Amino acid sequence: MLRSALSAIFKSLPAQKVKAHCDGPCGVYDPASARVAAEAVLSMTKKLKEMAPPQGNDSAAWAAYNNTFSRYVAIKEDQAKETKKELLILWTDYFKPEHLATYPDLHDTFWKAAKLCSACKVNIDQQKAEELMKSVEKIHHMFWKSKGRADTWTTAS
Amino acid sequence: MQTPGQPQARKQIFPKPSLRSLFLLITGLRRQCYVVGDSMLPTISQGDRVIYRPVDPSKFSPNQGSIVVVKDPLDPNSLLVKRVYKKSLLGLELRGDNELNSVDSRKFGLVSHSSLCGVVEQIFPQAN
Repeated sequence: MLRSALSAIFKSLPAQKVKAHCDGPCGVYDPASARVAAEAVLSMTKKLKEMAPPQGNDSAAWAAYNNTFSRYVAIKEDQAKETKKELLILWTDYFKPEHLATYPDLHDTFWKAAKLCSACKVNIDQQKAEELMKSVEKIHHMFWKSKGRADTWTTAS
Repeated sequence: MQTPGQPQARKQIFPKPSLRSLFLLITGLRRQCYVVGDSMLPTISQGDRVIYRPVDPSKFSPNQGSIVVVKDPLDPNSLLVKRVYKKSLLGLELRGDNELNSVDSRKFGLVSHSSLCGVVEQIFPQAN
């Protein structure tokens, strides 16, 4: 009783606003950033698989090959990390416990998607990269449905 | 040994409202703010009220790991709540507990000691 009264008094007293800045304007989320990063992972994986090492011992050709291969790997790993980061933001910040009633597999979906990001980062595995895209697409639909909208899934590549 | 920015495991930071805290608040020895934003999750949620002890920055240095209220380096007319990640002579390195979604010293750099307004002593979750 006393606690409730005190709590009511506290709430009635003036309080200044103090900001706990988050990444963007608070409440603005979009799975598009995860989709773009995941597309880059798939694209780099395909490019890496298509690369053929040079024939012979031409040092300039080997240098160019190694340089391009390294760059593709660096981008793939970087974008896989970016995909994971974007997915974790959606998972931990946007989705709330009440969404679990509509999407009982929400945690499992995000957990598996995050695992796929790691698998794509450490391997050159096109099947995993395609599975990651499918997971991101599933999350895209869950996200927009939770907002009462039905955005179509469109990829850039 | 405390690692940089390690959240404090202080249950007493989430007390029930008491006559003492009400007295301190009314007499101006403590100040009350409400929080906007998610960068201090899971410790502080949007809409929670925090009670902070105003301090004189020339005479007081917060502990590493403390939650502090400072003047926002990006908007000096408003206040910011963050955790002290590291201290140095050049200023305070502040971080949000929600590291994946926080604009803090990783973006705006060190915050000068003179921007310190107070140290958070109590958090009243919105639901209370």
